[in-house]
Amino acid sequence: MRRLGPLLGAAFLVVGLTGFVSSRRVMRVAVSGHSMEPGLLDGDWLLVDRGARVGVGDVVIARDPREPGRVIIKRVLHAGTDAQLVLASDHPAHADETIGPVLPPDILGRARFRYWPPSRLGVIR
Amino acid sequence: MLNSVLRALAPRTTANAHCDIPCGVYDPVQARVEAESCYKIIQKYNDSADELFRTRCIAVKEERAELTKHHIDVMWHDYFKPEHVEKFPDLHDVCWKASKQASQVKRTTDIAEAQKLLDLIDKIDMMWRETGGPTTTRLQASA
Repeated sequence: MRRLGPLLGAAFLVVGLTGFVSSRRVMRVAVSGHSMEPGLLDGDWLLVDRGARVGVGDVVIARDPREPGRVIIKRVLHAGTDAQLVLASDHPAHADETIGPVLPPDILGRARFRYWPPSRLGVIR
Repeated sequence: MLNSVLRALAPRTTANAHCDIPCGVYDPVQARVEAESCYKIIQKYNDSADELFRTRCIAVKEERAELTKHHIDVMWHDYFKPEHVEKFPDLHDVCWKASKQASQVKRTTDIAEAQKLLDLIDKIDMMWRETGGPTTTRLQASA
């Protein structure tokens, strides 16, 4: 029975985590590219809160206003009074490049947590 | 087992964080030329009794209206910045109406609708000029 304890705990953890990341409110995305370095690296897996309020400074997932069907990850640089957002990259080489205005329906959620790779597990700031 | 868990947890969406390298060249004249094409095509459509020609007019007009919409959206999304909105508080409204009007021109043969589109593009052109667009976004002629 003592041997079963840790195994059951791990099983519950896996089932719980799988259930959480599979819920409708949470979206899983993979980062592709380097424009959000140094915070986010190519290949990072993130949990995105679809229902979160989004403001200046938040990392968001959005539909690219320049290319239908493309999803981008950027940081909110500016929020207009009409809730439209202007987005920007974190990479210093691209600090002067902005994307937007992005309309509220095209904001898919706020990136909250990196769950892969395990060595860089943590909250997205 | 780890592979199965990873497969179950793997993202289904890719979020692009690729570096964007815009050329930085913007000019509403691109939208204006396509919108003028729509205007002239509607004129030719209404003046013609040739059904084949009229059918071709419709097809080309829809293509030109889509290009107009694209060029309006590029100005709106890529050229205009928050400080421009501060200078022209109705900037978003004008761009939004112009984009919608391009869709309207796509589905009509009413010349008045094409004129409305040209008028809205002229407003965008005015805001582009007043925010220094001609000097900051176009190559200057060499002396």
